[in-house]
Amino acid sequence: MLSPMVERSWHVNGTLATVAFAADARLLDVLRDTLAMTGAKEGCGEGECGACSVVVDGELRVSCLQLAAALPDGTTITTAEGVVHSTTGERLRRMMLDRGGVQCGFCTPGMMVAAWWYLETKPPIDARTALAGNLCRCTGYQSICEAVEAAANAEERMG
Amino acid sequence: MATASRYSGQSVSRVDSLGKAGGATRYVRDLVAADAWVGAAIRSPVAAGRVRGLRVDPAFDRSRIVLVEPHEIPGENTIAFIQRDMPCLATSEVRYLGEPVALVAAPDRETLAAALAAITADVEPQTPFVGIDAVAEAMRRDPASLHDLYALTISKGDVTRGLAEADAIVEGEYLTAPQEHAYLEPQAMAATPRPDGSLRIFGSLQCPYYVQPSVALALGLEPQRVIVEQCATGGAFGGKEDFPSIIATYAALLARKSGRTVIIDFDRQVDMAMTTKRHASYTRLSVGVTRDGVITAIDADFTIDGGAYVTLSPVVLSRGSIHLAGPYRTPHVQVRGRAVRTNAMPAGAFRGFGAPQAIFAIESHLDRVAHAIGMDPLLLRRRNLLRIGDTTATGQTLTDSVAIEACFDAVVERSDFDARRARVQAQRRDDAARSASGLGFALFWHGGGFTGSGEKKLASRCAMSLDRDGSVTILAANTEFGQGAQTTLPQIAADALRVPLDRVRYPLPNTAHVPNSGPTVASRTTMVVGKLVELCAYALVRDIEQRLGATRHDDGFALGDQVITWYDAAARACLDGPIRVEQQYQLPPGLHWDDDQHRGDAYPAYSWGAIAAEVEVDRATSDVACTHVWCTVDIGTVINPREARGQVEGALAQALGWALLEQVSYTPEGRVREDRFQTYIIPTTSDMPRMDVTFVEAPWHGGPFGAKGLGELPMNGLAPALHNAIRDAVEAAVARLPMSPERIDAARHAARRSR
Repeated sequence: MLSPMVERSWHVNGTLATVAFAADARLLDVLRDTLAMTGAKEGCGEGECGACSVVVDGELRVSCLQLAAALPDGTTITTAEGVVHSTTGERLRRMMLDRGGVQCGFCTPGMMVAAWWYLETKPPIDARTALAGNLCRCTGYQSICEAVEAAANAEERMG
Repeated sequence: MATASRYSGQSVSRVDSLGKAGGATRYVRDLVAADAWVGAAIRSPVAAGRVRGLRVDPAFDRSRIVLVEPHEIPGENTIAFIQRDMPCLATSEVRYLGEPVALVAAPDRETLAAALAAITADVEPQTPFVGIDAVAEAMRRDPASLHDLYALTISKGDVTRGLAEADAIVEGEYLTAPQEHAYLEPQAMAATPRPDGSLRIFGSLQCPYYVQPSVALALGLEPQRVIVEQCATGGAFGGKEDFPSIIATYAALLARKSGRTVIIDFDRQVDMAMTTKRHASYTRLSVGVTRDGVITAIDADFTIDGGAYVTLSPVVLSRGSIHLAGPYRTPHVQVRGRAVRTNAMPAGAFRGFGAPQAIFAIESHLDRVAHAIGMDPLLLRRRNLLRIGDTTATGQTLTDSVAIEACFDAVVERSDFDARRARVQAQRRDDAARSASGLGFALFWHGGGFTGSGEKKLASRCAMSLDRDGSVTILAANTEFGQGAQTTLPQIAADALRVPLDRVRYPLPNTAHVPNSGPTVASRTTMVVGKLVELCAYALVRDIEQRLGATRHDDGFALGDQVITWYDAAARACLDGPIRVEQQYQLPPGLHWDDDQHRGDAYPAYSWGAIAAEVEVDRATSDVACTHVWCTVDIGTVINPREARGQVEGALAQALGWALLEQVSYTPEGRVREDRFQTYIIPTTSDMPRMDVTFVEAPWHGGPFGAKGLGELPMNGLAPALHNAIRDAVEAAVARLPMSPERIDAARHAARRSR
């Protein structure tokens, strides 16, 4: 049986987007299928791997566990596609390249989102802890953590 | 030809990282059109039995789906690997739980789910035989009861005599669990039928030229009518070496019948339950040693659980058996290898390919041997180390590029091993401390390229083309799935051609355009295909020289008394269109291998490594925290230090997971218990130690600019180093992976009782 459709207007990566989707759709599906933003990846579908991470109203979320209809009009959503176009995201991307934080790339968008959230919101934890919810099977994490720490240090120096 | 290295040895930026970091890179799920159909297999609900047929709910509307049954397979009902024992769809016997008996495709996922609920396999169940514990028990009580998928013996000297010459014989048993690859992108392959009856196959894969013949055989097509394209691939580690051939064949059968693009993309649970794993292993060792630490004999039974069908088990068994004796010059060795059949999903390729299991056994065991004769385990190892001029267990005399001792020294120095060991021992005497520290060490090696005559049989071909604008394209079937091949092969090409790196392109392979340069496996991409790329570059330069009557110089080409640039030369040479050159790989001369006896030069070159690991074991809970790892490897010339470091660190994470966290087990009925990330635990940032990774370079004359194999090597050493560190910390050995807190706890209690 098809779920009824709902409509929402969100600020996605700084642009107002009005989207219609099934009432039982996950945010991940809406991003990928409706908005054609395929940066968020489905690695497990149960909130364990973090490959679908996005920032919703300033909070880091896994979009596979987020019911899209539960996000009201006016919600602000930042995805990997938005992250790289920010100053912090651009710095982070440079550091990820420099330290070798990218291999197969499938976890990378989610990793970028989580790292961006860490750099933007500055919670009182280290980078390693901030990224503990994002699985990577390629790098062993050291290069990624170094990249995020380097981006944080660069920010401090500039700030 | 002498060539100045401008890019090789430099950490040039990955060509694929900009797209990947921004989420722009498209994987197969991101590419498939919205109107594509989705496919799946109808699977056996039991691990052993006789197929009676399909049960179809009469209320289900079959007009909305396509169903493919075995009799509709136009070609051979086989998935072709080493043997043709595995059916594409089971028709009589079912050998593992989940074995496909039919295929279904639907226009959307809801309909597909409804079809899978309505159409089920009817199988008369029999009693399955599953799990490494059952295999080990059979090996102890009644080894003849086991069914061999493949068996071999490796012999050097006279092992009976070697054991007789020993002052002590130390025996032991080691078990390892299956390991899931846990690539972040689950398996996904798609097929599009084309009007002329040919097929386009695309998806997440390692080996386009494995997929092509497999699909062609089942579809009854000429291989060249099956065009295979690799999409960006989100991790593989061997898991996408053999398996994509299976689901590509399924997608192709469904696409042919439906007339539509069909994608088969697993969710994580199906992926974990239904795809290949690293072979579980059971190793029994008797090692003879003299009082002063000379190893006289290694006698081993190396048994791996191959699962239901042969697939790649013979070559996994061969590589594991060859590596079992470790990097030591032991005069008398016998390894009796068996890959046995069970009612589990066939085991498959996984980074290391049998070597990690074998090296876990011998390197864990050597600490016990050292303990038995009261010798420092490092000294025991040093006393028996392979050096140039020594022979391996297969009788191969090592002639060059052996830097195991330099790796050994580097790890001892960088970890400050002796002082650290003293500190660790002092810490353990503090009974009030919450945890006990331990320090472990291991040596390891890995042969690059296919085993024995494998590279000769492959006869890989690589091509290179030059366009009028001076740009060069590498035409190879080798794939990028994270390891950095799309960056390192162009580095080699640019150096050999003496052109700027940005002039060299290396697109993801498509069998319509690239020759068969062999699979992207066996640590062969840099070492073997890289050499082919280098040779193609020289051939291309010669071709230009001949066409123009010119001579290559650093600044361009000397043409009479003038010098023209690379770009001028390209424009002139390509007047009639692009130039293409092709080269075929040849093993360096003088290598001999006997396939029947498993004797001779097993690999053209070996890579070497040493590793130390420090752990803290919680005295109350037996939780293990690995705090530091020092790892030094010799991979010959390092083409891209940043990416090489990434390979080592990533492999160390997989090895740590295999050693401490990752458990695949089967219920008595043959179902995988750990089929999701909630129950199958891979390392996160919080599990990983500080890793100190360094390289020593012993260039190999046969590799591109001296490079050897890398990808698998660093998978081989950490598990035994952790075993030895935990043993050091708690004075109890856990000879079984994963070394979970429960097992460590049990071992500590057993050790306490026996004291």
